[in-house]
Amino acid sequence: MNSGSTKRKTIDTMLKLALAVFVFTIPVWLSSPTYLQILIMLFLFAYLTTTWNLVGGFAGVLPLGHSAYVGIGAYTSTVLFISLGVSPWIGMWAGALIAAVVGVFIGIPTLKLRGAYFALSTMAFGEGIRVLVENTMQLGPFTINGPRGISVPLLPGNNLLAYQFTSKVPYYYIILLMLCVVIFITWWFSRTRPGYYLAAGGEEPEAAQALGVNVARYKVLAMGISCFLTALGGTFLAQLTLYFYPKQILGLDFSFELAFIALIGGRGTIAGPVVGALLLRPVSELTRIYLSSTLPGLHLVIFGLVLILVMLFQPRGLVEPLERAYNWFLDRISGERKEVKS
Amino acid sequence: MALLEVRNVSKHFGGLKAVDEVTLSIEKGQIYGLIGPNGAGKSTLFNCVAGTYAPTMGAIIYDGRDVTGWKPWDICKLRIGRTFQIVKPFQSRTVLYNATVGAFIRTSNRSEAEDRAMEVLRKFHLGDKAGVLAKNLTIADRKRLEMARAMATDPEMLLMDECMAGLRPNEVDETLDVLREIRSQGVTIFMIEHIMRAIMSVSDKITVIQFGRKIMDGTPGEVANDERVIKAYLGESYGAGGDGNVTA
Repeated sequence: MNSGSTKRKTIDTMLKLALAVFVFTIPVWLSSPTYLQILIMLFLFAYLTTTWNLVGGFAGVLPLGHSAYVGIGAYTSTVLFISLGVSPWIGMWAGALIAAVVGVFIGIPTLKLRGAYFALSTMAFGEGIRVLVENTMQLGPFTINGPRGISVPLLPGNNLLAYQFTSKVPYYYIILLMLCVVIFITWWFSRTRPGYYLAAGGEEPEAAQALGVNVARYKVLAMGISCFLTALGGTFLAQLTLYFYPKQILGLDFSFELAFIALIGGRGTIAGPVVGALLLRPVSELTRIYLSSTLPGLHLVIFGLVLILVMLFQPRGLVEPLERAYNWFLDRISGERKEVKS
Repeated sequence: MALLEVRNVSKHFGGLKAVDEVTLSIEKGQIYGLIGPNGAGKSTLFNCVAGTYAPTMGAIIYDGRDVTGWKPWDICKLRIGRTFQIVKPFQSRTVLYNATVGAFIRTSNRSEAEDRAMEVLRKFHLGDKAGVLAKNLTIADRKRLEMARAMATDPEMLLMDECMAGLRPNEVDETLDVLREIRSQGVTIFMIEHIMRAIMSVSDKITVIQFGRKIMDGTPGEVANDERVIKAYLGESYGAGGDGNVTA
C-alpha cells in the first residue's frame, strides 16, 4: 500500500499484541471484584452479541428474543446439576443442543418472514417462553420454581468440576476465552461457503437465490449455531450469579440490549459487538448502581438516544469510523517515524 | 431437440392473466429474444422459467426434463443463470465477493471459488475493480457485474432481463460484443430487451408477446415487418401505413 507498509504492519501487530497482553493481565493488577464483575459482564454481553450477530448481522434479520436461549442454557445446566448432579461443564452442552433445536424450530417458520414481522414473531416467542417458565413450578421430574427462579447449590470453596469459584478471576478468564473463541468462529465462518451464502442471502435474497443459494436453509443453519452458542453463555451467567429468575434471564430488555449493542457497534461486522458492549455496558452498569431505585430502566432510554444518534450519523455502526481513525493513527505514526507509544 | 421448451405456460395473479398460454422453444447455442410492450408479461414469463414463480398452468422443459415449479436455487444448479432487470449487487461487498458467491456453486473451497470468480471478472473487464465495493460502481459496471456474477455459476443458459436498459449507445455496443462472446463459449442466451436496435442485431429468433399472449415468433427480419407487431408497439392507426421499421 504506502511506503512504510512493513513498518505500519509491525506497529499494527505490536499494538494488537499489547492490547491482548493488557486484557489478559487485567486481573493481575485489578483486584476490585466490583470492577472485575463489570468487565466480566461486558465480555459476556460482547460474547452474546457476537452469537446474536450470526443471525442479526449476517442473515440480515433482527431477532428480538435471544434471551430465550440464554435462559434455556442457564435452566438446563442448572436443573441437570441440581437433580442429577451433572457437572455444568457437561450440562451446558445439553442446554446448547436444546437451544439449537428450539431455535431451528422457531426459525423454520419465522425466517421466511421479512423485516419487522420476523422481529415481532421472535419477540412473541421469547415472551411466550418467559410466561411459560413463570407459570411452571415443576417440569416433569425437574423443579424450576416458576417466577421465583432457581439458585445453583453453593459448594464450599473453589470447585472446578462444579463450575464454581470464590474469586472473580476464573470467571474473567473463562468468559474472555469464550469471547475469543466465538469471535474466531464468526471470522472463520464468514470466510466459508455457508458464510458467503448467508451474507448474500441477507443482503439480496432474490439475487442470492438466482446464484444457487437456498436462502432460508442458510438462515436456519445460522439460527441453530447462534442459539447453540448463546446457550453456552447462559450457563456461564448462571454459574456467575448462582441465582436467576425468568424476568431477569428471559426478559425482553435482555434481548433488546443485545440488539442495541449490535446496532450501535456495527451489525454484521466482527468487531461491532465488542465495540458496542464496550460503550453500552458501562452505561447500564452505572445507571443500575446509582439510579436503579429512582429511575429503573434508564439505561434503555439512554441506549435509545444513543441508537438514534448513531443511526442518524453512522448508520452502519461505530466500527466504521473507529476503523478509519485507527488507520489514520497508524498512518501518522508510521509516517512520522518518531515516538512509538504502545 | 430444444434446450428449453416453454409449453402453454400461464401465470395468473388473481383474475389477471399476466402470461397466457405462451409456447416457445429455444435451440442450444441460440440468442433468443423476448420482446413486447411494457406490461406484456415478459418478466413474469422469465420468472416462471427461473423458478421465482410457479406457473399456474403449462410446463417448462429443460434439456428433456420437466422442471416446472422448481425453486430458483435448483434451477441455478441445472446450469441456468439469470440477471435481473433492476441489478441486485451485494452492495456492501466487493466486486470479487459478489462474483465469488456465484462461483461457489462448483466448489466449496474459497480460494478455488475466488480464482474462478477472478477469471470471469477479467473477461468482463472488471479485473482491476475486484476490490471495489459494489455500491461504488457506475451503472454500466453494475450491469457488467450482474452478468459476470451469473456467468460465474458456469451456466449453459443465461436468462437476461433488460441487461442494456439505461446504457449509453457505445455501452450497448460493448454489451452486444459481450453477448456474442458469451455465446461463442457455448452458452445459450434467452433475453428480454427494449432497445430494438440491440435485440434485432443480435438475436437469432424473437418471440413477441402482448397482454400475456404470444403474437408471433420469427427471425428479426420477420418480426420487424410484421403488421401485428407494429400495431402492438405503435397502436392501430400506424398499422396500415407503417414502413415496417420499428425503432423504439
